[in-house]
Amino acid sequence: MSDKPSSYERFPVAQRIEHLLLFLSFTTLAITGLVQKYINVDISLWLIQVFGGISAMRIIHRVSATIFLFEIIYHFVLIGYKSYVECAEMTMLPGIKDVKDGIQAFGYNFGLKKSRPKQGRYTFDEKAEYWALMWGGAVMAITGFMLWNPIVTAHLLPGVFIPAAKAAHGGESVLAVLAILVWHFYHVHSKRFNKSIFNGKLEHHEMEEDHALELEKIKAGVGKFSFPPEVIKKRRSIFFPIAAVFSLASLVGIYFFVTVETTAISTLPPAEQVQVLATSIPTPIPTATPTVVTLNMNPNKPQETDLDLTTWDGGIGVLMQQKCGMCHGASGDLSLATYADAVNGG
Amino acid sequence: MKGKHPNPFHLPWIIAGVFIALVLIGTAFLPNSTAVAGPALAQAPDNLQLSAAELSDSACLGCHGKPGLITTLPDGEKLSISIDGGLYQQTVHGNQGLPCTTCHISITGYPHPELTIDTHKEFSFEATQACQQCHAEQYAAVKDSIHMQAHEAGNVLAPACTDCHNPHTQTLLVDKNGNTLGEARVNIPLTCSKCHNEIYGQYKGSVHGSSLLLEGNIDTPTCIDCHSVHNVSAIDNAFRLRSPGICSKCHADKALMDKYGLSSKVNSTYIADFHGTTVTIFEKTAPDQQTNTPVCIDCHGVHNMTRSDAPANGLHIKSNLLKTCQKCHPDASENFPASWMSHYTASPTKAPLVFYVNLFYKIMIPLVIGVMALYVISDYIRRLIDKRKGVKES
Repeated sequence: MSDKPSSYERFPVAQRIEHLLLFLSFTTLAITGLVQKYINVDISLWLIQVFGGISAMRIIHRVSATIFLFEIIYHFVLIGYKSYVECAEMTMLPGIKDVKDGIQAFGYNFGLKKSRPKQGRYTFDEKAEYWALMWGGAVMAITGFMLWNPIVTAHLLPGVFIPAAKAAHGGESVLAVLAILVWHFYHVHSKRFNKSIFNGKLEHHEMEEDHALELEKIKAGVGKFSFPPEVIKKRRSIFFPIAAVFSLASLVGIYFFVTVETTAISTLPPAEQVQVLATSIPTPIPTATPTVVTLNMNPNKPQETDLDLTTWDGGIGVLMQQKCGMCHGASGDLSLATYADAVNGG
Repeated sequence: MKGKHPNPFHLPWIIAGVFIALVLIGTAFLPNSTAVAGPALAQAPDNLQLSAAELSDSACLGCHGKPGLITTLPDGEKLSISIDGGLYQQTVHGNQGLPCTTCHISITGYPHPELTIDTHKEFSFEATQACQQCHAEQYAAVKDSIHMQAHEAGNVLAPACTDCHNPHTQTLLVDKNGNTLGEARVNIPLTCSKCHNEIYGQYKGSVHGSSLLLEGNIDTPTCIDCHSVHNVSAIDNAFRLRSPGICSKCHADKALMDKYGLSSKVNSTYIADFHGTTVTIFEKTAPDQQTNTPVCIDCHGVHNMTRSDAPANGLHIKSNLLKTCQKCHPDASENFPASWMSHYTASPTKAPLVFYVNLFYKIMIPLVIGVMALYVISDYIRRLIDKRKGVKES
């Protein structure tokens, strides 16, 4: 087996670009989105400031969402090209075999099966991830549209769909991010660092371990067949106009998605219509006597409100002191300082 | 000074005394004023001289105790200079036996020095020096207030201490624990209304104002509960952003809200919904920044908030809610208000769609991630075992 190639092409450049777009948009969406879901966590507030504030962060989230949508369209065009023009096998389609492979893989890990499943170009775990991404992408795009354009949504659906969309958008995001962290990171980073998405190649032993059936097919020459150039040319001449129309329609759709409504006014909500400074009436002269609450802050001092104005000690003395005492104090001939003085006269 | 001044009990002396006192006191108070309005000031005897020690309250009230004394200031404003000594005895100051000279610090004898002020306001702001002697903490707070800023910017209407607290009639406002007394709470809106009369009018008709002013219910907020007492702040972006916190001082208080059959979750549900999330983020990351996202008062009204079932603008009435949404969302249609959860938490009966979506993810996330984790862990361990046994991967 000296003629066996040491590596096999797994991802052409076009697909590697797709992954890059997906990686960038997904990561940005995840960070800028989760931060908004978990605002009570300190790191969220820190990240908001790093991104330049919540308004800037929301713009970044939406730009990333738009890039994500571009990537989805690009992906569909690419699938269309491969399936129609190249008549390539739809290797990503799930089947009963994938369920069996999954069960066998589980069984092997628990010692119930003798061997791992032999799998084709895409393993059951890769298919699971791909279709989870498809499902998640659809949920996020639809609920994202509703959140981005709640007024248009409420024209078509009951209003409660909008908070429901928010719940789904948040729930799905957690599911997606955790799936990436657990499933994707394990399979392509932890189990064995799979570099094929960067350099496009898998080593022979990697092919043997993960894609044994595909390797067998390659060795048997299946899939090597390519159509004559004129057939390709003819198919392209049909495919490209359709793809152009589809792309254009999708771009119009994205444009609609992004610009269809102005949800809210950009200014502050209309304020209270009231003059802040409006004096009641010219201050009356002399100022009206207010009602005084009886208070006694000094516990050692008896209440002075129950004046008995029939005796000198009951209040008349104090009254005399206050009203007359200035002249008729100790200094004048008539002193009103004490009852005796008053009786004495001047 | 005993016997120094003439016996005033001769009629000519009385007449002369009145005249001289009038001129004397008039010029003492009003150095730039040419005319003294109103009735005769008092019967201060001619040539009366009193030292600081002799200057008792009764001496002051000898002149100022007469009712109806009015003086005209250089700017034309009329000022009452009568003090009701009896009333003063019952005030928070008089009750503690504070003599006149505690506050009238420039008066250290008789005749007292001339006042060199042109306006009442000028006098009031000079008097703040006296207030600070005992109320330094309050004065420090006032220094940061919008009122002091207005004064410094030259607004002649800006209040000094005595514009809100007439020291000659001011009664105790707080209890031993520093809580505002019930009666004071009821009187506060009247005090503020002296300058903020239009707002007072709005407040009076609101669910809060009518409860406090008409029913005397001291649970309801008075002006200072939202605006603070002395450090009344500017109504700026920062105030707007922290205002939900002000509302929730009462509206998140379960015991208080239960008393009125109101929800105490209005703030937590607000924060959980679109608007509150944004406002909370702004408050925590950029408290000075402007956001068009609504706070409580934008939907419920500022000073004129009503019960949610009030026919005119209560938000429980769908048409009112729609109108409120349209203030910021002009294109909102009839379905739109339902996109706001109205401070409810989703349940099988309230917004069931939201409830079941949440339930779906509550089950799906642990289930899916659990299965994944189980596979990943088992796969990892299996590979370790295989490696140790030397089993070739395939």
